[in-house]
Amino acid sequence: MIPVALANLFKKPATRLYPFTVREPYARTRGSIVLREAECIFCGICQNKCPSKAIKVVRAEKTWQVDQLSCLACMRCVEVCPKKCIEARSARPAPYGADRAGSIEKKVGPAAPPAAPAK
Amino acid sequence: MSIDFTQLAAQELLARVQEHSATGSRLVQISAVALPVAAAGDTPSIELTYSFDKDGALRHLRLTAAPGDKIASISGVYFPAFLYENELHEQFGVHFEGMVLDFKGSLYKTAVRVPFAVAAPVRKTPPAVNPGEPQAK
Amino acid sequence: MKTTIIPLGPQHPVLPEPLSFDLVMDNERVLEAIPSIGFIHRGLELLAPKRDFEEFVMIAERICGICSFMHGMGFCSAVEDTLALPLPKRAAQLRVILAELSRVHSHLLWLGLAADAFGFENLFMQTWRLREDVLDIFEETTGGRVIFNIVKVGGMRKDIDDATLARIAAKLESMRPQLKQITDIFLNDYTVKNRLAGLAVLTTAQAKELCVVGPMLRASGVASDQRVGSPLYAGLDWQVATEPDGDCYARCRVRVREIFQSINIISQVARGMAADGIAAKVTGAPNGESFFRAEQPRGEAVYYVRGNGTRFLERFRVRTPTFANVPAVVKLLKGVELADVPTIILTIDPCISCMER
Repeated sequence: MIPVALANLFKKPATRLYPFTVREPYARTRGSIVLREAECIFCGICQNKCPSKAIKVVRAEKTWQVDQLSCLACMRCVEVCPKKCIEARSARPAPYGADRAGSIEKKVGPAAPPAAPAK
Repeated sequence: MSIDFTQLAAQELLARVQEHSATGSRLVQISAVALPVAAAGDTPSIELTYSFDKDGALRHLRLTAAPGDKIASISGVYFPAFLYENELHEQFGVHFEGMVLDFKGSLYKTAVRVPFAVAAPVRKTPPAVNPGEPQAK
Repeated sequence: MKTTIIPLGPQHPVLPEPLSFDLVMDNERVLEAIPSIGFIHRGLELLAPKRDFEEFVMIAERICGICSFMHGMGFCSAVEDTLALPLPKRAAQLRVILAELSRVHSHLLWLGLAADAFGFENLFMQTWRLREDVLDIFEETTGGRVIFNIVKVGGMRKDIDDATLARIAAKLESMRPQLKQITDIFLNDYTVKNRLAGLAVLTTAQAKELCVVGPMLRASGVASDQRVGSPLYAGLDWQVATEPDGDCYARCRVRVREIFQSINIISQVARGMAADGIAAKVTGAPNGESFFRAEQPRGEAVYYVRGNGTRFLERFRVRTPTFANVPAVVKLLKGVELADVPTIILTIDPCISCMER
């Protein structure tokens, strides 16, 4: 072990000084999903196929939301979407605040009916 | 896909297991399935499968434990069986008598008691023995 | 005789996952060890009737982080058996390559943890530095370092082209000198041998009686490996690593030999890849039952699938190798000194999240 330990003294460190050096993810890295809501038809297939039930689609209101903290980034929704409007990103979403603040990303379709006024 | 199993009555279990042990078979696993019930709300019977390996070939023993049945523990013959039997007792509610190391229901300490003893849905069509064959009507 | 009870775990620096033993001690000697498990029981098998069988692969892979690929592969193989779905040759070869890479990363992980268990931190760090290269290979080809999500019922979701495979094989071959340098320390260093040799001996007869699997069994002289006779490994030139002594040193030796055997297998498969597609179309739903046995890095894992003709499985059961090996630890801990207890617990390569699902 002594030769290995001595050689290690003169090598550069094996670790990166994050956050000053950030490693770029590979092209295939499964980071997170993003919806292009202009192309979405709100069919709900992604909701049915999601293994962790992270996606919720309400067709009548034309809303689509994903709970990024439940999402496994397995990309199954990307595979099954008939309009191919869910995009796989290789970057993980930024960290969330306390109480999962901001972790549910909601998208509303462009032709959504106006929301009912609160009574 | 059919597997090579022998259906037993609960009383024959210990004798058959001792036969396997005498031939030098290795206990591979003990698993359980909750069977469908006649009326909703009934406690399901549990089908136990004991698997043994001899020179690479798997042989299975199968028996059905009705609710309230006491099955003889095989941990006197195969010591590792105590872990399987304790787990099955907690998950399915099967009673095993004479376990070498008995956790008395506190192995996993789940919030819901016997969580796996949920009756299987009744099959609409009978199972095909060989996939690819038309199903028996 | 006055005895003390020392609880080891569930949180302990050397244990990768929570496992508890109540050690009944007489001074420094353990008289009896009472196991306590269930700290990360998630009941994943109960999700099988609630998820479509094609989506359940994602959940099956998440039973464990170290053995994740083979859980997915085992589940898919058992379901493919019930569907009588033939696998394209290229998909089978890709599965073999990823499975053997899994074995390399898992054994490197174990070697590091074993070094940590007897206090050799420097060796632990160096071993895991080598493991990082394997994890980078995983991320580049499958998209994840730990959970791959690349296997599906019928084959693979993504292809890895031949050029990348050749590059991976070359990278592993170039890692050999460093691997040899590190593993020689495990096998020849005086301090390591002092801690491992002669400890927790399991004779051949005891190993068979306690129904242990994997490197525990092979280190006690029994040449039992589920890859032998499997159609996936047909035509490949490799040996089952068996050792006669049955002590912790022999188990370490078996795992080191398996790392090099896995690199051999990957090189062979990468040279002769078929080109017949990566997935077969899935028609119908699983009907009937099937057992599939895979050789995980820790031993033989049994996957039982029962389908009833619908898209939701009736039962999915995994019997993981650690489940079969833990009763052996209960017997092996009798009569050893307290300082050797973590080494013995680690010698079975415990993967508690697999064991408890």
